Amino acid sequence: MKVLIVDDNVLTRTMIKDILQEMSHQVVGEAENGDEAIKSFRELGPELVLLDLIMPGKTGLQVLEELRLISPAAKVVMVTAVQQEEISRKLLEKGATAILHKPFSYEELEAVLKKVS
Amino acid sequence: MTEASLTKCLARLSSVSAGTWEILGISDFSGTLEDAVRRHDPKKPAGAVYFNFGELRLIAMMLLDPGDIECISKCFMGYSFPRGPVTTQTEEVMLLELGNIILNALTNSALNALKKSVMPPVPAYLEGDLNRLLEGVGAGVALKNNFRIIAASLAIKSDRSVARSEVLVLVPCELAREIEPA
Repeated sequence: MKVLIVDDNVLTRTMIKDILQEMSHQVVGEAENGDEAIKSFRELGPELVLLDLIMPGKTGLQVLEELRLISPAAKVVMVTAVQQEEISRKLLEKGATAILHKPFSYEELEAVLKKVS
Repeated sequence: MTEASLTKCLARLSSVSAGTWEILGISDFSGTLEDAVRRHDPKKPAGAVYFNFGELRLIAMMLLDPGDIECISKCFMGYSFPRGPVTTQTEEVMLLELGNIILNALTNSALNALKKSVMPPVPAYLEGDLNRLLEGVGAGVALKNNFRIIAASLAIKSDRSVARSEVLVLVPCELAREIEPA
């Protein structure tokens, strides 16, 4: 699967990228904030976006809403340490395909990717 | 509730990282931000990952000894960042991600209990003595304000060393009353 990784933390991006490559997915791009994410999404046409929630500038929720306008069918998995019930509800309501909570294991990421592919 | 959420988070960290993460003790008390920061030995400089939910005036912070970064990175990342004279940007990025995970585990349960929903801010990191931490973490906070403070001492163990950390959530007293039994 062609994946775009969006996270402001470079170590998290690298860790996710390493795992995805080990699983034979293709990381087509990385973005460290919302604006870069939207630009990369338009340019690269990924099949899946792994999207951090808390970033400087636009939040992952705002980015999700913009991605939905660009491509209503886009697959977007939110990756976050936030487990507030209301925020999780809102993310799913706004079209998140799934939510992956940090810290996660290799197997949990693999299971989410299988579910959304 | 907060203890359960933190315990679950540390169990997950232990299963997905190279280290063992444990709560050594948890307590709650009333006090000021200074009382909270003094949980770290005030004679030693500390590193603090923190965020401040401005509208709720709720603060979460993780205090650690910068000298423990080698052990913490080994536990969290699986490899040690060789310790230099100052904390590097890469070390800071690692601490911010770790703090993000642990502090959200603490605040998730508190906010769910309060039936409040607030998008957490991006965590920040700073290092220094007690006054430096109070200036940074306490920016915009009346330093004499009393909080209900939940404090947990953590042990972070690798195969060769152990680091300690204090994680704290400071809930304004009027907010804390909303979840305390009458």
